[in-house]
Amino acid sequence: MLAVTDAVLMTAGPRGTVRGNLLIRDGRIAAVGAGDIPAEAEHIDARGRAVTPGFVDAHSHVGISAGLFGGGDGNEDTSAVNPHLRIIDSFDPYDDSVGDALWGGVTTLGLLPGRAAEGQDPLVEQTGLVAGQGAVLHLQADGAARVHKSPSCVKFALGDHPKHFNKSKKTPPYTRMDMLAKIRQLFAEARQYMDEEEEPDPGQRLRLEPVAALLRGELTAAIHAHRRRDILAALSLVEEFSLDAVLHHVTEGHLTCGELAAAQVPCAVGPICMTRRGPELRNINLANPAILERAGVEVALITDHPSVPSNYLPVLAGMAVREGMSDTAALAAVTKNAAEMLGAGDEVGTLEEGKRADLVMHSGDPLDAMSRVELVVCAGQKVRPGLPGESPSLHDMSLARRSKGDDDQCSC
Amino acid sequence: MLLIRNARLLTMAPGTSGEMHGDMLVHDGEISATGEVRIPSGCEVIDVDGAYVAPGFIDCHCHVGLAREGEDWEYSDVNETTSPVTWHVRAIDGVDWDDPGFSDAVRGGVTTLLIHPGSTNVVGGTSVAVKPAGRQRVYRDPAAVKMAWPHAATVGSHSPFQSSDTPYPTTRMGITSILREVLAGARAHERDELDSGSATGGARGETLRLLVRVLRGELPVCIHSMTPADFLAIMRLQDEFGFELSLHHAHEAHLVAPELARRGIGVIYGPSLDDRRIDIWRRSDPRAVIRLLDAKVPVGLQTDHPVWPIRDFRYLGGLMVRYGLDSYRALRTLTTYPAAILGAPELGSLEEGKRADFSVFSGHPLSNLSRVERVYIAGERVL
Repeated sequence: MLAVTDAVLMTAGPRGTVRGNLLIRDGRIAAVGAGDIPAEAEHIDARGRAVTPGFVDAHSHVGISAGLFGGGDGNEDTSAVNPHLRIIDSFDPYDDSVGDALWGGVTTLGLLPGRAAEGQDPLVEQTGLVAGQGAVLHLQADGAARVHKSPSCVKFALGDHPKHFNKSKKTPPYTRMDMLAKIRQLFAEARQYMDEEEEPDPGQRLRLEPVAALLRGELTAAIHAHRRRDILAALSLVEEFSLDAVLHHVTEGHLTCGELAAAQVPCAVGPICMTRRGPELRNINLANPAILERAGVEVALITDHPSVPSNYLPVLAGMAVREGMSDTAALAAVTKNAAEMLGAGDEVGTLEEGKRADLVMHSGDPLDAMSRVELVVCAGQKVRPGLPGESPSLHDMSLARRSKGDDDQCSC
Repeated sequence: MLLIRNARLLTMAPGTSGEMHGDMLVHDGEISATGEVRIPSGCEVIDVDGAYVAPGFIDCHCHVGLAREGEDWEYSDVNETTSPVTWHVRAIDGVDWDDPGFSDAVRGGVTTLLIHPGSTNVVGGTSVAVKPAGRQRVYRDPAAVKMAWPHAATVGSHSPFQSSDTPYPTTRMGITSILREVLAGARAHERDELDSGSATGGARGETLRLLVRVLRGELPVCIHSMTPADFLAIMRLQDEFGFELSLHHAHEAHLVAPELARRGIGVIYGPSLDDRRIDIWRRSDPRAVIRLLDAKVPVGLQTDHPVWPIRDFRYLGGLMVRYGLDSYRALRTLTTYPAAILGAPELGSLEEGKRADFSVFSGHPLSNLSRVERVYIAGERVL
C-alpha cells in the first residue's frame, strides 16, 4: 500500500484539481483526496507538489529501431498495403527509449507502425499506405512493458508522406486517387471475406480479419493526415465505412475545425513543435490545439517519438497552453483524451478510484520544461529515481525484464 | 536613446550572480549603462514592470535560409554534393533571406545565427553569421569553415547523399586522410608563397588563402562529429596543423571532456538532448551538457534548424534545467558560451559596451510557458 500525501492532485477527471492524499492498493488507485491513510501504508509526502496521471502518448514509435538512414523496423516497404503486420513484432523492450519514456513520466504508449527514416530528411515520417496494426502498452516500474491491447488499431496514411515513400520504393499507389482506391478495394475484400461461408484461407484471414474488425467497429482506424484535403479525405472514408477512427497529426486541423467538429472524430495532434518541413507541414501552427479545442474537437497531443523525444510530451502541452489552450484541455490532451483514443480510458488517463495507479509527481508546473519529474509510479510501484542513461538502473531494469517469468503472459 | 526600466536583468556578466534588478540604457546600438540609471532627456523609456530581460540568444548551428521552409527538399541548398571537398562554396550565397525561419528566430528571441552548409561533405564550405532582422543582416562572413565527419559517408553504399561520380570516403580513415592532404597542401603552399613572394591567382588562390587563414587560427573550423573516434582523429589533425575548432552535435563529447577542456575546445551540442535514435550516438546522455560544463568545457546549444525549430531554441535550455542543470548555466549555453565559441565577445551579455541585442519575456526565458514580448537587435526593436 502506498500513500501520496498533501499533493495537488491534478486528476484530469471530473473532479478537476484537489488538494489531499491519494491512496494506492494492489496497484490500483483506492482513494483520491481522502483524509484517512492506513498506518501500514508507505508514505510519500508531496508537500504541496503537483501530481498528475501518468502521461499517455497516443502516437509513438518508442522501442522501434529507426535504423540509420533506412533499414529500421517501423515500416515494411515491400508493399504499400500491409494490414496483417503487427507493430508489436518490431518492439524491442530493451531499447533505451523505453527507459527514457518512463523516466519522463510517460507510462502508456500507443505504438504505431509506419515510420521509416529514409532519404534526404530522415527526421520526416515516411510511411506506407496501410502500415499495419498498432498496440497499446503500459510501462512497468521495472522497465518491462505490458501489452494492454494488440491489435489496438489499423494504421492508414494519406497525403504526401505515403505518396513520396511509395514512389521511392516503387510500391504503388503513386497518386491520391489510387490511395483511396486501394483502401476501398481493401474494405471490399474484407466485406467479401466476412460474407464467405467457407473457412477462409489462413493467409487471407490474417490479412483481412483486422480490416473486418474495423468494419464491425471492433478496432479503431488510426488515419495519418496532415493537410486539409487529406483530413477531408479521411473524414469521407470514416463516413463511407462507418469507421471508429482517430485522425493523427492533423497539422491543418485549424483550417478544418468545422468539419472535424461536425464529424466528432477525435484528433491526435502533432508533434506541434516542428519546422515547416516540406509542403505538407507548410501551415503548421502551435495554436492548432487551442483552435481545435475552441471548436469542440477532442484533442490529444503526440510526440511521434522519435520525431520529438517521448519525454517532451508534457512540454508540448505547455506550448499549447502558451498559445491559448486551456490548462485543463492541455493536461487532458496528454492523459485522459489520449487514453480514450487508445481505448484505454477505463484503465488509465485520470486519477480516479479503480484505475491503474500510474502517476507522476512534479517539482513545479507539470507542463513547464523547467520542472523536474520527481517521482513516477507505475501500477502502484515506484520507478527507481534517476535519469535516463544512468546505467545501473537501466541494467537493473534489463535484469528485471529477463527474470520476469511467466506470471504475466502478455508481458513482452 | 532607450531606457529599459524596472527590469529583472539577466546580465550574464562574469564575476556576478548574472542577475540584477534595475534599468538598462541603450545608446547607438550598444548598452551604455545598467543598474540605477537616471533618465537622460529625450530618451524613450520602457517600463517592463519587473519582467525578465535576457541577452539575445545565439544559435551557432542552423541552416535557416538554406532549406526554405514549406518547400520540398528538392529546393534545398544545404549540401553541394558534387564533391566531398567544397572549400569554394559559401553559405551566404545559398541563403534565402525571405525564409520564414528568420522571423521564427526573432519570435524566439534568437538574435544571432551561424548558418552552415550541410554535413554530407568533409569540407562543406564557409559559414556565415547573420542577424535575423534589423538593418544589418550579415554579421560576419566568412565566420567559420564547416567540416564534417559525415556518418552518412561512412555507411558507404547506404549514403543517400552522394549525387556525383566523385568518390566519397567510406571510412573515418578516408575522411581524415582527405583533410590531412588538403591541409598539408595548404601549408606547403603557404611556405612557397612566403619563399617566392608571389601570390597564386584565380579561384585556386582564393581557396588557398582561406586555408591559410584556417592554419593560422584566424578562421575557426566547425566540425560536425559524433563519437570519440571522430574527436580523437580531429585532435590528431589539430596537433599536426594547429587550427581553432569547435565540435558540433557532438552527442558523445562528454566521454572526452577533460581533453576538450585541456585544449579549450568548445562544443555546440545537440539539438536534441536525449536522442539515441541513431546507433552511431548510442552513448549520448541527457546529462552530457552538465558533464561537459562541470569539466569546464564551454557548451552552446544548437537547433540545427530545421531539425529543431529555431523559434523553440530557448526550451532546449529549459530542458537542461529539467535534467538537473541550474538555470544560470543553462542560460549561458544560449548566450555567453556560444558568443565565446563564435569569437564574438561583444555578444551574449548585458554589460556596458556590449551590443544591445536583448529580449523581454513574460516569464522565465527558458520556460515553454513564457512569451517573448519584445526583441531588440543593436537597440532597434524587431518584435
